[in-house]
Amino acid sequence: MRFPLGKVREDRANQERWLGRLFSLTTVGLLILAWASVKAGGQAPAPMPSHRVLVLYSDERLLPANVIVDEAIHATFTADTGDHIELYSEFLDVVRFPGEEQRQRQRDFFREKYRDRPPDLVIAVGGGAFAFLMERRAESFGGVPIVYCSAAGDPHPEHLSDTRIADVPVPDTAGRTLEMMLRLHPDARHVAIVSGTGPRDRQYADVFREELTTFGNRVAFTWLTDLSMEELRGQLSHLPDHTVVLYLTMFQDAAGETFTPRQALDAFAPASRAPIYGHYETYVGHGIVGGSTVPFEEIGRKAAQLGIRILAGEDAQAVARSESYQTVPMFDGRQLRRWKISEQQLPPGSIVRFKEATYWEQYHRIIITSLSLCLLEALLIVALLAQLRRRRLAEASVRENEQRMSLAVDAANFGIWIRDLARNEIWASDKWRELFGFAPSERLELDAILQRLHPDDREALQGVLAKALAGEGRYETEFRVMLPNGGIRWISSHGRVELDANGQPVRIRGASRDVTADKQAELDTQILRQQVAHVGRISMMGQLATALAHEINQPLGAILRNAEAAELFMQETSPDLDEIRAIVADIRQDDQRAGAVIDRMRGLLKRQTLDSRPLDVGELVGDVRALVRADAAARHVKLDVYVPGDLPPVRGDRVHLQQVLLNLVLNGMDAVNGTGGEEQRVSITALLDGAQAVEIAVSDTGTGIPADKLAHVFDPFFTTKPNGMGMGLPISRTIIEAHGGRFWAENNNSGGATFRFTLPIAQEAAAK
Amino acid sequence: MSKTIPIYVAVVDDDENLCRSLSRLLRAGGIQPITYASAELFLADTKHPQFDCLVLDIQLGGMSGIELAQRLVAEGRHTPIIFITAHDDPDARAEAEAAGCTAYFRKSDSGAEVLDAIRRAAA
Repeated sequence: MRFPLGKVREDRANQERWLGRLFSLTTVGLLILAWASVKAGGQAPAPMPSHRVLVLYSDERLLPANVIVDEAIHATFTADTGDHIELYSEFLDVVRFPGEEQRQRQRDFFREKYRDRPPDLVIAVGGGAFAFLMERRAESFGGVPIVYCSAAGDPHPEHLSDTRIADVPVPDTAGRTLEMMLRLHPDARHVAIVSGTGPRDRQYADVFREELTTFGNRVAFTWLTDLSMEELRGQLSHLPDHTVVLYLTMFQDAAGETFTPRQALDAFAPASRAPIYGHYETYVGHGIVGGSTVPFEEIGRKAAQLGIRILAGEDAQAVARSESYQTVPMFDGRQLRRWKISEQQLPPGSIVRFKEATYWEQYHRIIITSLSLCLLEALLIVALLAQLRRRRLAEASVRENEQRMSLAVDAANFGIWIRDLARNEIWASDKWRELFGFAPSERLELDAILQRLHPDDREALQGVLAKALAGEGRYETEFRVMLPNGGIRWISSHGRVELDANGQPVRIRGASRDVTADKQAELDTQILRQQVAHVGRISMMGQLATALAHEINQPLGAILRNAEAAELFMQETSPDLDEIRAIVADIRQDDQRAGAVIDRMRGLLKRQTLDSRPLDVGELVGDVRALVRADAAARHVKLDVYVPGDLPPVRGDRVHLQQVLLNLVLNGMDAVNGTGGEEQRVSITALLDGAQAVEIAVSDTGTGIPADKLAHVFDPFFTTKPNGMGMGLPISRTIIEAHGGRFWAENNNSGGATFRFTLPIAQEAAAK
Repeated sequence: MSKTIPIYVAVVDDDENLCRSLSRLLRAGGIQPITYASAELFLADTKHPQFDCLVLDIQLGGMSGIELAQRLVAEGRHTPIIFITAHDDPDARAEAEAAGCTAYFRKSDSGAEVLDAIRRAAA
């Protein structure tokens, strides 16, 4: 922002007028305050300040250096003396209000202003303020001790004979900065020195120009002065290689625009293609790499400390001589990085401001955390990949195994299955599903599977499973599956229960096999066996019967013929009575012969064929049941067996008793067969009959025995069957009686007939 | 009916009582029986008259009645044969018929029928 010179002056005249008004307002304000304090003082008088100190600044209030110094002075006074020092601040603002005339006005104003409150000490900040005081010493707080608070470049005129002046000179920071920058840039060939065109700029530049002679011909110096800001920027942007820039001050450019030196720096620094150095702390952070500085805070603090000592009565000169400044190399971290200067290269004791943390420094926690997370993630990914790979390998191997297994199980006609008890899930191989008639995708439920079973086998399988789960751990069983297409398949299944660490069953695993063919073969064998048994039964009975029939039919036939012959003889007019007597004698003989045949048979059975031993009734009945099972199924007759488990054994001949029972059951089946009744049933029941015998009954649900025939069922040759021989029951009765038992028949109340016989309990058992 | 030409019948049965009773019945019926206790005895009798009919039991001690019948047929003798057996066995009946018998009776069948069959066969 640039203004024509004339306009700036006009503005400044306006400001002066404003100052006058401000003064009057301040006076009014002070009066009010004074009145208020008098009113307050009436009650509790405020402690009077022991000293008044005026801080007089050469420049404006907002000069960065002034801000720092002012703060340091105030802080130091307050810390050391509490409220006993009253501080006043005045800003001469010599750059914007130059000229002797201005100074005189300010002098007059201060004289009036501080007439009633004369300061005990004046701190002059900057050469302008010090010069102001020294010029008309008597008029400006004459006799009051002065602390000259100077900065680099401020003049130190010959006044030091005045014992009330304390002056601690600041070292030549610009020269030290130049030395430092050349050390940091050993390849630098040129040094460009930037300075403004203001009086103070020129003054300082002149001072510094003399110093430069000490640098000899090490480098070439170029003065960038008498330039407008624009021109300066242009020059800086075209600096040759191996150039470094030293910035002194720029309060004003060649175009007459005023700045604080720092504002100027802000304006031109970005244009420079070479690193810029400067010797003021306040430049740091505004475009310079760094410089050798005396911190303004230190300057302000030292000034206040000197002032306090002087106010305490110490000799100003003596105090000043005891003090000195240390320069502090100060850098801007960002610029160091920009120009690739490592901190290791910096002089010892350097302060690096704006040490803009590298990403690492700034974010190292986040970076570490992020990196850790990344690493963790990477590890996780690697682990997951490894696991995936392992799993794939495992799966491949499992698949391989499964394929092998399935080949094996297929070859063996096995269907395999797994039942997960916790999840209540059932997995089964395709083969298994085929065996049980389930579709490959159908969901498997235990109930649905049980439903597939033949009703007669369902309960048995449930029992087997329950026992396996309850602790047996494994099972092996056979059952029939009723296929959806109506077929029946025999399945052999074995399973194993798997336990968890706590011994609780977690799953059952097993294999099922189609054993229909085996079963059929077995059934065929069984049927064959039964047929053999049947034939054997028939033949035993048949042989007996045939033998009996032949033996008995002969005498009976002879009797018949004799009788018929007798009838014919009797029809003659003179019957031959001798012949008839012979006939009657033959008839009697043949009758006796027939009776002898039966007696002989009975005697035969009693004498030689009984092999009596203790017999378990359940086993006996079970044998017969097994023998007739196929017959019963084929004839659709239900066969029930009720034999208490605790029956004592009986004594008898197993084969003969089997024949008796078999005959009764077959008779029963004959009786119920063809009745067309909805329930065709034959039952075998055994129960204890007193203490000495067991009664075995065979009941049927047939039509029963006609009442008039009931008494004759045990007669030989009595039969109700078209092909019946009428010998089964007589022989059976003979056998039972030969065992010492009884044999009888009765009709049931509910229909059908029951044949009962008893057998003696084996004496060994009865004796117990 | 003329009694001048008697009907000669051979009865072969191993049961003595039965042979005697059947002979009585035949005689009572006007038929002249000659009894043999076995097939072998029958074959051995070379002096026997020309029989009009043979009444054979099937179950005999040695050669069975059916074997005897087959043998006679094989020898070209065409005497009518009537079987009377103690028990009615379908297989035996079929065999008997195949051997060429004119009648087949059980021992419990009516004697009158047996006599009628003999008279018809001898006619």
